[in-house]
Amino acid sequence: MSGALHAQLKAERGNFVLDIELSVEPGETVALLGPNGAGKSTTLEALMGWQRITSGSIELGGRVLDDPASAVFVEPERRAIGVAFQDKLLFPHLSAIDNVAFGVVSQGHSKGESRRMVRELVEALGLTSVADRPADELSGGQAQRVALGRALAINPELLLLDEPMAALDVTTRTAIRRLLRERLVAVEAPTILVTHDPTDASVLADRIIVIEDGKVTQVGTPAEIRRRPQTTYAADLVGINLITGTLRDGTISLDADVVATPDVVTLSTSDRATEGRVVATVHPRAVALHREQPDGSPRNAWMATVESIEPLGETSRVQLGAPLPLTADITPAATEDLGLAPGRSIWVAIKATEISVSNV
Amino acid sequence: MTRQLRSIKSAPPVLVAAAALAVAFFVVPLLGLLWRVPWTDLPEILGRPVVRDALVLSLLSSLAAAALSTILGVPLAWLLARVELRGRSLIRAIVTLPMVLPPVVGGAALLFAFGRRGLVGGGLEDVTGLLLPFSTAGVVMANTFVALPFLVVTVEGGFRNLDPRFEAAAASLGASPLEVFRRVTLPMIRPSIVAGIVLAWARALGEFGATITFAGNLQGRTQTLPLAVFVALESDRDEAVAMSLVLVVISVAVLVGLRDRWWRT
Repeated sequence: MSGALHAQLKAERGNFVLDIELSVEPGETVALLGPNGAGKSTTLEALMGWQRITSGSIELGGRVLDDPASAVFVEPERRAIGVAFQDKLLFPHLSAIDNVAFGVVSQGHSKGESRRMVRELVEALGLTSVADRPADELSGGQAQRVALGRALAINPELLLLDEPMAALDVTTRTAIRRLLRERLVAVEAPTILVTHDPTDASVLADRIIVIEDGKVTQVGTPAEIRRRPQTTYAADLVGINLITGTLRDGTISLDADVVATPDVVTLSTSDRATEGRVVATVHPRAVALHREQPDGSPRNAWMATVESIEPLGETSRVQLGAPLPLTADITPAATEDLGLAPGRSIWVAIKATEISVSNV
Repeated sequence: MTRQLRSIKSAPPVLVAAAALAVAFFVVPLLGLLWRVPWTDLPEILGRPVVRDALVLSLLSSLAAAALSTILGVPLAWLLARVELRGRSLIRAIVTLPMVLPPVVGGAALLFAFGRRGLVGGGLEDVTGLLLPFSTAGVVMANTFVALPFLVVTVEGGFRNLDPRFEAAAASLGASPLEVFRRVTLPMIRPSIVAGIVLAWARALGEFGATITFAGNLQGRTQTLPLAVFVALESDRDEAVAMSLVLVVISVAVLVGLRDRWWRT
């Protein structure tokens, strides 16, 4: 039923020019990552048909939605694209369940019938207790679930999630992220997740498309982009080390698939409040490299193999291999001082306070 | 909050005095009316045929005018708020003209257009057999002429304040343009529509000049409450005061009904 999205978008808005190409396979989740003003919103609006593209084409499941050259333009209401908006845009005069059922009613079902049809989805989203509450009386997290449900209920041919975790508190963020991770697996439609959060992108997306100033600057899996970021923006955001594991009493037991050899199996953090499944983030600048065993505070220290060294603007990006693959950013001067070269061994140290964790 | 308190404390006495005078300007005439109300004879007066005819006609014609204004005014307000068309400001100026035009002039204009020898009135009579002047339909027409602008202006404001992205979101969920209008636009601007209807209805209820000029002053057919009050002032003061009281009571009821909109502090 579902087909791939192939889009070649050229659009203008004032002085801003968007010129990107993107393809998303059925069942695949692609994160659209970019700074403010990069063209993420324009991309979504072009896909939804809120804005016409000036040239290029949008093809979804073999159907052309927009192609100025052959004067094809499918109106938004005929595109079957499910959208969860950043500011939700829930209809305030309708209850939570009627918001979810809105698109089902548009498909020609009666109000009662539509409610029955979305009941299961409403329950899966944890909204049963607030199903009859007016949309403008929902909490941020509940509203986001309704927005997601409204997009999923129409069985979309393309699912667009615009910053679904923005403007939520940490606990709610985590809950929504977990919910998305569970739900997106079952979504057959191509899915685009717009975000500026590398954690969301890495946890939820199969592939990341980085756009900056209206152009695609990099495409790849989260791991690929982390290893070889093409721009400083990508390096700053996606270059962050993400390590999954289970946290208990401030110690993370690392997942088997994140460690290369079982010499390092735990990391100490300063977080004593969080427990359970976590993703730990460590900025490449917080990964310190030493010629000799460091003394003092770092409780996380081990010998690692240098895999590669890439120049990256003002710094050098060092890829570390076994026992725990990590990315470290150091100055070119330090690279020389340490005598770094691929294949060499080096001491790695991370302060417990430099590791931030969030539940997944 | 503190800022507001300070500004009240430091209000210049001149301003306070002028404001008090303004309040008195409204209160004194009302008291003058209430003072003259023949309370004991009131039930008898309100039961008189001339009063009952005028009351019924007023209620019916003003409600009909409010309904007509809604049917015609909501689409027009939508057009003015949402569609980029040339001459939009000209259309808006024409539509709001009756708000500033003396109603008598409006009534005269209606007469020259829809009267038997008017611009289209003769033709209209030939085709439909309908003669608007000096008929109840003419009353409704004169009322609608002065009431419609209030509805259009209020509802247009409602459309303008509605974020069009809600409608776009509904369209993306598969709703046709008409469905979007019915299921999202109208319910979301409901407060503006209600306010517009009430304002239009109140304006129609109080209409005098256009009605008497275009529809005349025939008891039971075109004599509305304001017209009956005017006539009774010459013949029977008690009757005039009693009918005026009815209009005051209805007006106050409208204000109370709309308090959420205008009495918010």
